[in-house]
Amino acid sequence: MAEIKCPVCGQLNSSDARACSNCGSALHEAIQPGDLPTHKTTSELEPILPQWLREAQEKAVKSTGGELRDPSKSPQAPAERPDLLAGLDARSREDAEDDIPDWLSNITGEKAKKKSPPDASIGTRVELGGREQDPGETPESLEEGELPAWLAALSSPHAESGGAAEPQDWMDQAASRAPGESTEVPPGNQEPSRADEAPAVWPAEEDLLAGLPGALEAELPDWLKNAEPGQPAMAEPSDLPDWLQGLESDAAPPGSAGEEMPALEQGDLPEWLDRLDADVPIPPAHPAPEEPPVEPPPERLPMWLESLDADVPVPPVLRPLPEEAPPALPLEQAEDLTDEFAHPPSESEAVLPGARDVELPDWLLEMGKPSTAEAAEETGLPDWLTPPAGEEMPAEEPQESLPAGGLESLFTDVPDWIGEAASEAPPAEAPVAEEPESLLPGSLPSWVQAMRPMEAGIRPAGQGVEDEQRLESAGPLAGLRGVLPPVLYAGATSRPQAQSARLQVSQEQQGHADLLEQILLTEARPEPMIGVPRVAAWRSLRIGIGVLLFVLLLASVFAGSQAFPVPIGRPREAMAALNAIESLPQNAPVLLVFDYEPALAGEMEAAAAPLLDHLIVLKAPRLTLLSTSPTGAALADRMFSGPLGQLGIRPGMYANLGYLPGGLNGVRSFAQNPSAAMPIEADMTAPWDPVASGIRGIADYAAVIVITDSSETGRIWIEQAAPLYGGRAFLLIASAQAGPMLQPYYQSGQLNGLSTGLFDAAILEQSNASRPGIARRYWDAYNLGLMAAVLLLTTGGVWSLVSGIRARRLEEAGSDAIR
Amino acid sequence: MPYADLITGALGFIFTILIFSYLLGDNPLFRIGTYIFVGVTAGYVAAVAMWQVIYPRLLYPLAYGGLYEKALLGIPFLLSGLLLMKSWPRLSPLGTPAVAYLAGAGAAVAIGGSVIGTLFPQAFASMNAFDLSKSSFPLEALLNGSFILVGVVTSLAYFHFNARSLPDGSLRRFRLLEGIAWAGGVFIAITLGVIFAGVFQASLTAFIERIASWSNFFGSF
Repeated sequence: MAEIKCPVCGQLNSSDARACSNCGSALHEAIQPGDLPTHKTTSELEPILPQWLREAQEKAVKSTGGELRDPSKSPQAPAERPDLLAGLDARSREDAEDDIPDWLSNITGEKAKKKSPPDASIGTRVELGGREQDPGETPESLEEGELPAWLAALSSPHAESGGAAEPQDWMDQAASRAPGESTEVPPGNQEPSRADEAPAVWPAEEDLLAGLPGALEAELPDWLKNAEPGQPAMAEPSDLPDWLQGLESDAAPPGSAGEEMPALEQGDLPEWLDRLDADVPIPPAHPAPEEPPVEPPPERLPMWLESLDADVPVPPVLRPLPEEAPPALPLEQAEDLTDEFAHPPSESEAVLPGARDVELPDWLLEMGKPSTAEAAEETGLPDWLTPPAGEEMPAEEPQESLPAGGLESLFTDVPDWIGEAASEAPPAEAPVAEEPESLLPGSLPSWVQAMRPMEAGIRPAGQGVEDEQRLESAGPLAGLRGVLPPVLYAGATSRPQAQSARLQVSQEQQGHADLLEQILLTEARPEPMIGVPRVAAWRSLRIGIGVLLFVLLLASVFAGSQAFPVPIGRPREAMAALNAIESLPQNAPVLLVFDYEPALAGEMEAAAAPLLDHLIVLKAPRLTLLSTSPTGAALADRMFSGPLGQLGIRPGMYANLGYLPGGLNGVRSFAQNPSAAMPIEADMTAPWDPVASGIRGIADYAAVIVITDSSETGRIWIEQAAPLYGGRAFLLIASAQAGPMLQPYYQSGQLNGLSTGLFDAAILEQSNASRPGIARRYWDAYNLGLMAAVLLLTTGGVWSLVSGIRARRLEEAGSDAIR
Repeated sequence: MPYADLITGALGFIFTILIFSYLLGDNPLFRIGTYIFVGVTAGYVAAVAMWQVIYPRLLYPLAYGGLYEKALLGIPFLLSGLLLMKSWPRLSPLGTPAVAYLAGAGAAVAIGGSVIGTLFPQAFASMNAFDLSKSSFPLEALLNGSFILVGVVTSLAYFHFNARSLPDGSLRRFRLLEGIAWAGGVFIAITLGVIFAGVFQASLTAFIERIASWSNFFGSF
């Protein structure tokens, strides 16, 4: 797909894009071919017109009696196109890609090959002298003596093959080229000279020849002037080329000079032309000249007409640029050749007898003088109009074909192929015309602007590198290539168009957005808690309840009352714990785990003291103290110095291992290998001796008593240590808040005994030989507190029930009143 | 009365009053008491960790242990160092392996202990409640076992939340399951009531102990 380059930022865009995708600049601001050109007075350009155009204009003025022909007034001229370009237009419509226009094919007899490399052997293109030519080629062709130098230059093959291939006469080429030759001819290049195929093309040529008689008649040689009008040779139209036949049938008015020109048949040619024709070597592929052709080659023109057609210079603008152009003949050599024509050598000396024996007519000498290259240099054409040096110029139309009055239309209605050819010409290699009258780049006339390539911004694939490798033509970097980045990028200083930050939304979209915002706000807004409204009386109630409990307990404790009897019931799990203690052997190793927090130390000490008192007094065990809480070691010391202080147990009588880190992992580790899990004591002395000697595993303990205030801690010891213990005295002393959750473990047999809270402690304490303990001391206060709590809870519940019933009745009464 | 007991008794009384002041609501006295407790506890725990964990289990073996013991301590030493990186947010990812090790090992131990020490034994205990041969009162054992079974089943059914959608868009559990769940709710309510009673008993006992400490403190004079 073709891409167009943004002139502002250089971004490549698709060819159908109107604005640049990067910067938003318009991409089609350049003048396109086909746009209406701005009108400019072309008379201002006359001073800078080429010399040949001036001469053509003057001749046209002379031939028309001082008036330029107005093509619009001419009945034979087409309305749209000038005569000269009409055929080109037709050719362009048929095949725009062909390099050789039809009129050139008709003149030279060469059939253009579509997209085929040029063949040097048959590539005979008409070239007027005056252009630079390889000096090494011209002497060679002169030495061969077959053609005059200027004719050799006209018919010289391509520059590349010029040295190797023998130069061929373009007239021979034209004469020997059969119409049915197998050369590839694109459809657009079908010979338009045939009147039946392209009659619309040839009025241009008719006009072209219409202006000739007046000019030619004065310059005709005598032998031509004396020729009989109405020569019978005209009765053989087949001898003439098609385009000439078309001229004869359509354009030539009776009695005009054009009527006499076709009368020059081959047999009636002057002798020098005949010999010239005979001596020209003919390629083998062409039909032999001796064989009488069934149909004479239509392209074979009379020599004078062919030379006339060939010698008329054509402006370089109108020349389709060939791929390879043969070197042009220098002006000096051309002048020498005209001298040779003026003074032809003798027949014995002539290399080309036909050319040297006959004196050339003056008009032919005049025609041979002008050099297209010189004309281009003198007129100061723009670079793109100047053909590259060394390139062959195509055959040129006769100067007389230019309608004198249609010059302006010629410049304003230039076909596209000329613009393409101009754009393809490398401007860097073209000679720069430094005429002071040259047009400035900024003041190009409209017709030149219109001739700019259509896809000026489109850069074919692979051309980007060439564009970037530009040749600097000015400044200190002149002559260097690819030094600076392309100008487009260097000048791309425009900032991107500022885009509005405001979102363009419709009213409906805005409504939806508002709705969504409201939903989100509703979700984010915290839901107000529906609770009982805080009443100031509640604080008084709270304080009153607290004060009541405090007073009751304080009074009970300070009074030391023992009004409430101790419980007489014997819970099964508590009695099992007591039995397990009593079943222990004397001085047996017992592991005591103090896993409770200091906040509940008062309860745990009261709950554990009766059972521990019973154990120590009855069995005198070797105690090993352990805790999975960092404060457990201190609580253990407090136990033996506080509630059990009356037993007289000193720190040396037990091994306080201290804190067992690792949580359940530490419990598991200790159950597997106690000495490895707790290598030293809390006081940094070596454990296990002598109190805990002989302990290798948890199963070596006669009893494991876990004192805990948390069901979780008790469960960890049950899960991790009880399976490894396997003994008969895995006891648990739990807080009242953890007892209900640990009760199932006793029911399942995983615990051998369970003592819970102060209630069980008060029961177990009765087994300690009626020694008063903490449980009994707390028992009255404990019972008072429970009774107060029960009373308050009951009172509160009744109050809540009554208030609820009242509220419901009031609500019902309100609803009835509303009804 | 020893001065130590006097000082500790006085401090105990003061801090007990500070904590009791919460009865009047959140106040500076309560906050002072709690802050002091938190600070003292943190310091004590840090000291315990240092002198009962880090020094005897890490530093002492590294300083005086044999080569084999030192080599074995390389892994916990490395993991401890990585775990210390958790103190800095930028380096906290370095402590992730140590935390992952702790979490993985703890989860493995916990799951194994739960299955072996709780799930299977409790399930077997619920089934064995109907073993009349182990009870001298078969009827009591039967009633007890039935009560346990009903309590377990209905409590588990209470946490079964599958429901069907009604035409009006509301969700409703199956009628039978809803009845069973209601019975389970009763058992759960009783259990929570018992737990609350236990919490109250524990708190009441602790409260009594504080009052008794006052009695002991003032009774010592």
